[in-house]
Amino acid sequence: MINKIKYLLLLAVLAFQFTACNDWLSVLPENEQVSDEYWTSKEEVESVLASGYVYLRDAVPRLVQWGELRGGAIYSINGNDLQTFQVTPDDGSLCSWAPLYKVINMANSVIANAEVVMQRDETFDEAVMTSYLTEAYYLRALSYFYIVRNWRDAPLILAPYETDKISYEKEKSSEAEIIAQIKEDITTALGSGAAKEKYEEDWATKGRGTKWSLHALMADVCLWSEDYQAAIMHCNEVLDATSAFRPVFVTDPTKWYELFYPGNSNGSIFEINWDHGVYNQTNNLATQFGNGSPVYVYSEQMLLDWIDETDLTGSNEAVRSLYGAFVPDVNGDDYANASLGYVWKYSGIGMQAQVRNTVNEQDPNYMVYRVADVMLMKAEAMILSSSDMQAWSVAIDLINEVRTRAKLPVLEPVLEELNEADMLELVLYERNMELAGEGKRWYDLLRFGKRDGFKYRSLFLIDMVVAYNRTANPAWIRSVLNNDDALFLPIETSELENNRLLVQNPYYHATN
Amino acid sequence: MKKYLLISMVFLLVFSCEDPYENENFVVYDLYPAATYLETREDEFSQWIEILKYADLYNAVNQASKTFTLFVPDNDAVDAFLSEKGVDNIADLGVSYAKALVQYHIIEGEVPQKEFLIGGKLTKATISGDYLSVSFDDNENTEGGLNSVYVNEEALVNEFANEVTNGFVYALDDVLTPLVETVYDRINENSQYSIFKEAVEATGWDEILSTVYDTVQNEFGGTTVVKRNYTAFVVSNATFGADGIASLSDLASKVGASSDYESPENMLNQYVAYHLLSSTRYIEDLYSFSDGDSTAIWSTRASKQVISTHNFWGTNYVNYDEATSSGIELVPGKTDMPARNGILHEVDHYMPVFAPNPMTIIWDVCDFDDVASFVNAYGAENELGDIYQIPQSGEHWIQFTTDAIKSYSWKENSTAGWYPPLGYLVTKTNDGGKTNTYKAYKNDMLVVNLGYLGHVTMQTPVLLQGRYKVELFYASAGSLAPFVSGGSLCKVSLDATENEVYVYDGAKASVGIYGMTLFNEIEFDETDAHQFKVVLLDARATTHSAYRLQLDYLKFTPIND
Repeated sequence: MINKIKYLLLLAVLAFQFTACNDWLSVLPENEQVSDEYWTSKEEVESVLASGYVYLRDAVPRLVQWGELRGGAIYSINGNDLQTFQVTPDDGSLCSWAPLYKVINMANSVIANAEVVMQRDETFDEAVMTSYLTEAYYLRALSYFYIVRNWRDAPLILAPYETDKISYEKEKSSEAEIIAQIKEDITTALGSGAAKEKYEEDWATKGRGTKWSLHALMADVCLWSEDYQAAIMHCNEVLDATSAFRPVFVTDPTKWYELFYPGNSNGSIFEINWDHGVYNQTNNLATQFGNGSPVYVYSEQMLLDWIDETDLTGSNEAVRSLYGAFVPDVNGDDYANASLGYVWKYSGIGMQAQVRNTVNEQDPNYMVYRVADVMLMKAEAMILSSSDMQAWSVAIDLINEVRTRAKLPVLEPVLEELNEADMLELVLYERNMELAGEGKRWYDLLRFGKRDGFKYRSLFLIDMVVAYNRTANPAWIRSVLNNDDALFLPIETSELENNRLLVQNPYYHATN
Repeated sequence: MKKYLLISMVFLLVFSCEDPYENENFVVYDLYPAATYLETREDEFSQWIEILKYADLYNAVNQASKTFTLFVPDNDAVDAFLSEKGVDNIADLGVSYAKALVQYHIIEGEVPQKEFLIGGKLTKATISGDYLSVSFDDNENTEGGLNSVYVNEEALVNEFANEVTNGFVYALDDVLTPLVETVYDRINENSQYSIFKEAVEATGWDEILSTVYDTVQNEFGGTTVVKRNYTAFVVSNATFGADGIASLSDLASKVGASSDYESPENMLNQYVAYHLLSSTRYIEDLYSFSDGDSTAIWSTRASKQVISTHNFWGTNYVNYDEATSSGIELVPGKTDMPARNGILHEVDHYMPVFAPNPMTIIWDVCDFDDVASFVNAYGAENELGDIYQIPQSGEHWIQFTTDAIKSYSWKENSTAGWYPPLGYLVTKTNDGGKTNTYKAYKNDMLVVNLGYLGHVTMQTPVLLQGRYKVELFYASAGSLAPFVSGGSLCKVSLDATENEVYVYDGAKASVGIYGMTLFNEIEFDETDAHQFKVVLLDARATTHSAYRLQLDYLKFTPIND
């Protein structure tokens, strides 16, 4: 008997050893696909496409960090090399573009195989197939747009990695080439006419690529590439749409918070979706932000901005400030004496102090585009496309619509006395407040600063980052932001090792 | 059973796929200790290797038992440095110079890149006992970021934190110039200051101004090393000339001195002493005033004499005379001249002893040279850098010892709490050093926890003759709640004038600085320093574990009729 037990024990130990080799013996993660025999049914296409969204969800923690920390309106209380501008190629997750290339690979797979599947699966309707393609183009364009804004130059990979026959080694393409590809993808998607205006399930209308999200993305890309007429045109496709399914600017201030809770509201265009209740999908946005023991909080200057804005409406009438986008570390009425400001968009359930249910509501969506964003993009493009007072007054009207909803006094500037920089400052300020915590700030500062040959580098990039970011030495921030290459992330070391055609961003050559 | 276990363990070792280092790269073959590492790059650093060897520190930085951070100028940098010194070879500068130079380029301990790039003074001292500082050139025409980082604002950093087995190596584009000259050396080396120099030498002050460290004997036969610091207001020959002074004897007769120059009462001796302060005061220190003030008073080394600094209408003055509406100015470009033991500023007038009008004096009760030295030594020991009057990320309660601290005399009785009987509190900051949590003046406080009937005495700065209201500013905190209701009885005195007061009475039990009046009116018959004494008359000083006073500053407000 004793002997039997000994042998059983030994067997058990041996069994453990083999299963420990999960690199070899475990099944592939559900969302990965490599098989040659795979592409046979439309369900497979749909599942790969869905994997693209899943990977996009996985990328959200990085999207938050990349979009916010360098801008300094929000900082990590645990410290972070992004906010101190000290990212090195060895900083793994902070400078790994893998989360985005995973999305791209899924999109590439759909684009490369959808038509083949249609021939194999008779139930795969062409209209459905083309519609899937528009989503794949959207996911690919969006991912490359994040890549170009963070690394500037990167390998442009347009075919899926499905077999060993494809070389993993690929040199970088320039920013211009990547931007051109993004625009081509969006144009192809829109040109097919198959992009949906809505889906059967409500969440999908905001959680999957649509005609509206394609236009919003295109407007954003055109602003980045300084093509202002095109940016205006794409903004108008959203703002002037007459379709019953269009996203709309909800003017009722009491509904402002519905953008974030429950989410997928009329004012939204594209948000990365989670569903705790039905699919048990959760994220930690509510705990990483919020007023429990968060990782990310507003910086001192941002807190002052919120206090100023709350002063303008009074604490009882506040919309996007007190209990909107921000809660203080003191009682609401005492907000002026706050010493710390918390991000409220992901943690609250309305314009009040109550937090989300921790049992079944840890699933705030992550906003990527919404109508107010598009309105402010249009305002920015109007200012830059012309110095005509009429164009500028359109811009002011757009800003005022956003302000009116927030119950803030409208701006009534004497346009003749303002120059382009003054006008841009108004848009930038409004974007910072309206879109706070939505992962936009750093890209906004970079876009405003770099346009027109870095004409506004000091005004909108350096001075703003120094004013908001208190986590690093101001002279260091100024010095770093003077270097064009340092505005972008290094290529992670392991990428360089695996892809010998890659050349590191020159700024990071001196780093060890 | 044991056998099977052993066998299975062996299996585990052989077959297990759990490699704890799976995703890490180890490139062991190119890691060397610091000096050997430099040898591998001999074509770039051979000159510095030679200096290391000449200074006999080559093997020292190769030790495996210690870690170092080396700052290594490349060959071009060393060549430029030698030619600037007018020598061909390091040997021409002598071994002791080479040693000082190399020691200034080595920190014992590791300074990784991310710590280095925080900027400002590094928190670990060099082997020579100095703190290097890191700065960033943020001029828009420079390359910026990692390409524009300087050490001591003189050497560009070419490479950051190259890893070696016993630390890090930074490559520099220039040699760092160690600060070896004393205040006296600075006066001596400049021929423009020859009259002032002669006065310094004739009065015997040259010896004091050459002192960097003093070894102070204590009553038990032990010794303490105290770092000395001075601020010298120097006068050029040209400035003397404007007042008809062309020689030392002219100066002596101008100030009415007899020939016994070395006597402290001698007028020339007093004149020189009047140009010296017992601490390092940069322009920024001399001209930063407390709220709403534009004038400050500084005790000089001349007995009972002070100088005043003023900022009126944007101009910095010394000893502004309201009677003539004029003041002495500092010579542009000749201020903040650093020396190993202090700082020099040139003034544009020969600056005789002057009695300013009575004015409000804010006196930080920790403002003593030996306190600064003691606290900074604690900072160095704990790798915090200079922490005197600089708020830190956490509080530090530093207990004074009678060996090292002579500025206070105190009597200690038994106590209940953990607070130092007499000590220094470095406050903490939550905003990167802009403010401290208490909002304490100069970011520090004197902690007094001497037990019932314990007492401490200290000397005030020189106060101008006149009548003053005297207020005490102290800190309260949540843990002091038991003392807030009713206060805690103390006897305070300035020289022989006494008063009993209740500290904490009327304050809140929350972190902050509170004020109380010690004397509504007190008269000083002559310009002089005074003895300030606090006796603890609260029995809880012995029995209550939360008891302590945290004294911030005294404010003397002149009373004008």
